Amino acid sequence: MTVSLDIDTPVAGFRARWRQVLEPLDGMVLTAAANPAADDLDDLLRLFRDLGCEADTAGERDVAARARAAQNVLLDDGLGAGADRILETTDWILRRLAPEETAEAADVGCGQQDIVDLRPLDPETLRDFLDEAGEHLDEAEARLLALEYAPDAPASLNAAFRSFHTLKGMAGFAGLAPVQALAHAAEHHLERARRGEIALVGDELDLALAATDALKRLVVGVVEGLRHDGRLRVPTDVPALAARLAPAPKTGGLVVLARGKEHARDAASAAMQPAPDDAPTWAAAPPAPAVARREAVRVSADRLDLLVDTIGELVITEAMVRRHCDLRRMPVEQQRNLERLAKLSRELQRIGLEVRMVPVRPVFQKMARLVRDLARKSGRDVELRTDGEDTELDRSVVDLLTDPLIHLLRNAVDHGIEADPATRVAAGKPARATIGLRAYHDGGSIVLEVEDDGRGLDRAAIVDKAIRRGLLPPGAHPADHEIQRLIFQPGFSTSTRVTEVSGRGVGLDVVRRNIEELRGGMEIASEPGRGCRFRFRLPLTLAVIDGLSLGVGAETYIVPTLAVRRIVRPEPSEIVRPGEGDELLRHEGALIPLLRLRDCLGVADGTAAPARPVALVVEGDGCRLALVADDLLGQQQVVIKGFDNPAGAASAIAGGTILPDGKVALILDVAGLVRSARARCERARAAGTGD
Amino acid sequence: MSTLAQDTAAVATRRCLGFRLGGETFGLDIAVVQEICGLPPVTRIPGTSAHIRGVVNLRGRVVPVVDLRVLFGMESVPDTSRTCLVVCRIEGRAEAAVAAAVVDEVSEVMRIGDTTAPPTSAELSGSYVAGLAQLGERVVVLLDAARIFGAGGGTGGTA
Repeated sequence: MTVSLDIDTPVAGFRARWRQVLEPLDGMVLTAAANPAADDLDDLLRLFRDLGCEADTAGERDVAARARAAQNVLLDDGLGAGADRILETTDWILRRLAPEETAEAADVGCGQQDIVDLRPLDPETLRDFLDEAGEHLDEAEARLLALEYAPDAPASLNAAFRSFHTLKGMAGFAGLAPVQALAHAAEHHLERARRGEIALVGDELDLALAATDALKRLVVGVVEGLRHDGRLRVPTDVPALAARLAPAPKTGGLVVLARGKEHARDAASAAMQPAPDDAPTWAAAPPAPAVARREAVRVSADRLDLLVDTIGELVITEAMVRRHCDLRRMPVEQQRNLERLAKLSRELQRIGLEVRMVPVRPVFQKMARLVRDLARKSGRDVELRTDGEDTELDRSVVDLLTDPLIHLLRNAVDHGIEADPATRVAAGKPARATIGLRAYHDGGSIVLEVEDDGRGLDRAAIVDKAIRRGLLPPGAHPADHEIQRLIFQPGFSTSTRVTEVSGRGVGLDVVRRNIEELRGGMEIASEPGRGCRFRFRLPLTLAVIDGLSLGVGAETYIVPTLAVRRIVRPEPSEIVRPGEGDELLRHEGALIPLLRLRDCLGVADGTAAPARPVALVVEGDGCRLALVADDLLGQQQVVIKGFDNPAGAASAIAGGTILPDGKVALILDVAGLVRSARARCERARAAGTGD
Repeated sequence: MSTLAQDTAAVATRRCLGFRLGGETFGLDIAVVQEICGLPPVTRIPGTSAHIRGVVNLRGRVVPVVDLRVLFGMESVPDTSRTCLVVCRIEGRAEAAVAAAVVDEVSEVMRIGDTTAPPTSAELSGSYVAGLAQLGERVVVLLDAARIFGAGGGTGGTA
């Protein structure tokens, strides 16, 4: 099937062909990364070189640049170390080539394509459809995935059926005939499963999932169409898929569908007729779904942010008013009102933060699909057990959660779990592997766990590797937490040998970086032969942090409490001065670099430094540092306010917040402080050796 | 001043907010001015160049403040009751940036015709000036908001 050869426009040909080439590449890269051979590397290099050249010709400069970058990665790091970046690059390129490609490939595929003109349709109904279609499709997908592990559960089957049914109805209302027809076909497929004609496992389940995918693409197509020329281009594989879903038609509506794509348009228009839906198939369908749903109103994210911002202002203003009131001289009535106001505004702040909370369910669902696909691709028998899908966290955090989870799950499936079920059985484990994905609240944070019952980390291989890379002295016996630190080292984890022997660690440094960006922490528990658990802890929201306020001169700074390990008031004898300007704090038997905030923040407002200042031992970027401030003012939750950092601003400033008195206080970036302290040390050392 | 006439930019009549710094009158296109307000307490940002006075709380938003006297190399004077902030909204590539400038006092809204000319003399730091306008007896210096607030105003910066 070389669709690409008889295409007249070069760009279309380029897209269609390279999609075909790149799509199966994932598996190839992963196998090659595990067993690197010179041939594979050469093949990949050639592939990316060709892609770069053609992309240039086709005017796809971004793609060309990425292709060249991929070549560099391969040349510099080889396949083992570069595998993850290569995969990321191909994913990116595929996304890039995807949207228009569907339209173009369809155009050239058979010369005839269904196009729905969206312009005459009622925009209101269309919007309702778009708002809800995604939800129904997600629901259908989740139910279908549940069927994989419990094929006989009628509840899941019925729920999936209802989702397709509702979708069909909504699409009909909106006038989207192709969507309606495909949903109809999918429904029919499930109906056959309900009647016991087919078992919804393996290929039949794949087919049903393909229908949800195609429907999702159609929904995206509608969105894109509305944004561009008001037309929905129906990919040519849609009618074919509908035909496969409903191959043995018994009813009028389906006969037309089954005749294949050349009549798909007729089918679509036939299905679109507002004629009463009298197909016998529907007799078996349940009445309109009475799904228990929480009452919900859709609000645009912008409005929500504005609401939360305004609440924040209200809380600050309220605090300012109270500060300036002399409560004792006020009538009792007034005092009481003021109390009430304070309580209400605190309550509002809590609600405001809750409003932005969303459940992690959609992310988990995406992961369930990912694990299923990965497992099928790698030929492993894996079950994903999810728990705590309704755990809520801030919208901004949810979006950033996907990448680290994909990395960890990919690791677990491809490397953590034994390729051969016999090995598992021999080790006394069930042949089907289990990956657990859990979310729960713990204190002020959310905890996510990815757990597999595979091989676990191979300590010996990691230590061996670290010694060879000079990260550990020969003969070292590192503690568990040091092992953790090692595999999160940039570059270390991606080492071919560790991947091969211990089966762990493609891109763990990427995961760590992502988690740190979210101001979270991470730990690993591993038991050789029994499995491995990654657990990370994230703040519930990125908008609010717990902070310690510090007085430095007349200024106030905030340090995130999470980064603070200990607060001490050091004796002068505990401060060591090894060289000019350098100071170290002797703390718990170690020497920690000491940074006086007065100096490094350039505070020069005439106030005198106290005789016994306070020192905070903080940790960031994997290092400890002692920050010396004049005084500790208190601990409070602060709302982070970003601002456009003017040029030259110290890298140690992470943002600002507004104090109860209405003034702005700056939040210190501990990792930034550690980095600048380290850079200063290195400069000093370089200057020292230079002399 | 002979060059002033040559290469006169054709600018349609527009309205500018006039304000004073020292003895001179400056103008900012009214389209970029969001509001004018008194000077709230300013929080210094460590490490920035001198003309960035710091950040202020503008109704819950943290907004950077540029001291135009310092930027233009004028002598600094203590703030008075007339000192105020001109808050500007500059449409950027991604989203609009909000920043404010400290000025001695705001004078008026001026109607500027097509009498503007591009800056020619070196005595003004040319890069911040959008043009000059003759308004009665006075010469008004029209400022380029994007340049004042963008890039921190210095190419020297931190090495």
